[in-house]
Amino acid sequence: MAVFSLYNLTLRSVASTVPMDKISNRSLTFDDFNAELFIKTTGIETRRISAGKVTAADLCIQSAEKILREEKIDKSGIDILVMVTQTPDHLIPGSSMFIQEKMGLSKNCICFDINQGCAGYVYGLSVIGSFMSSAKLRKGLLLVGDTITQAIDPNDSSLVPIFSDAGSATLIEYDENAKPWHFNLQTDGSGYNKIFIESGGARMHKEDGNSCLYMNGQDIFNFGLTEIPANIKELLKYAEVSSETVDYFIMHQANLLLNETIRKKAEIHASVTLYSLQNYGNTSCATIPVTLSEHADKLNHSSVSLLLSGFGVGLSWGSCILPVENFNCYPVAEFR
Amino acid sequence: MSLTITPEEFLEVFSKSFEEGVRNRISMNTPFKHIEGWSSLTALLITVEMNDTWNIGLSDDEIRMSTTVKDLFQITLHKLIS
Repeated sequence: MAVFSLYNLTLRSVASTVPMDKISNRSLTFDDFNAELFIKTTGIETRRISAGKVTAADLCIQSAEKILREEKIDKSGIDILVMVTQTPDHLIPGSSMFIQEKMGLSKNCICFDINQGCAGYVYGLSVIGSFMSSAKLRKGLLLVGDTITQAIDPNDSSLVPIFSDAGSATLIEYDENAKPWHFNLQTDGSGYNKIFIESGGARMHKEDGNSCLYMNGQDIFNFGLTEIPANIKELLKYAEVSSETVDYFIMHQANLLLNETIRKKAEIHASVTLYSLQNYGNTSCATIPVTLSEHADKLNHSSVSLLLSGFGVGLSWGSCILPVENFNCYPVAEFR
Repeated sequence: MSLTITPEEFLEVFSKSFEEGVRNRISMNTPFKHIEGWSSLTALLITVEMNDTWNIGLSDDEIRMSTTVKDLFQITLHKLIS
């Protein structure tokens, strides 16, 4: 059963951070790269690159500290921290342990990492939400971020113009008066090598294979068109929610052509669909919170119904419906 | 229920993703990877057109192993009638 609900949870706050280094796709000099056609098709004009100076953990910590500072939240009150990333600081241990120490969180705070990509925000919400709902944990931090550009061959003209780096923090609270969250999560392991780093893990030593990110763009495109609209429609049916009543629809920011085709097939209005592709590109697992932050002016202090949908590596994909009240949404900040 | 298409119908959908000046030079026997403006982005644009029209797409392997527009037509026809 991939469709389920979680109870007594409130999405309280979201903050996102990007590296300072900004690259325009118009400045790329690859042979046969048509920048204007690329920008028109994908919607991606500029991207943020960590260039090894900062990690996903650093970007997420700044985002989390922003929320805790602005909302005067005592760090001892954070009961759980979940870090979603594919670019941890080290292979062992997970980044969440380093983050707990760096932020000065309590030893009673449950900390662990999840290795997930572009569906990672939705998967992360379901995991931290399940913990908090069942154990009645008061406050939780979901940190979602990647510095995926560090895994890309700088000569790969198909991936360089797409990917970008970012980190985010989402504060979730236990609230017995909250409306339920609804999820539809799916996986298809037969496509495990469609977005892939072949070597560097236990299966293959780094020097024995391709240690850079590979993506089969055509097959991922077909996957997106086939699976995501169906996933969204099934979720709406399960939750007995009409797409007409969704206030904002935020997809993983893959590329404009794919996202717009998915949107039309899912029969969701363009007017409620939010994007951050133009300024931040595809920031892997962080695209959904970055898009929320990009539209902080619309979302801050709002009480709205959000439909979120992430899809990518795995292959894995998932959507969720989150009713939010008195939501604190902070604009995208640069790393300092 | 199966659906069938003619070569002309396929050619019309396939050609939509190319610039106007290029479209009238494309025939079923054209090696599509040599068409002016062809790129991996063009393949995505064609996929969207095919998806809108027949609700099917072409995989990376199918494109890679095909040479002419006719090859793609035959793959599409096979998918539609099977």
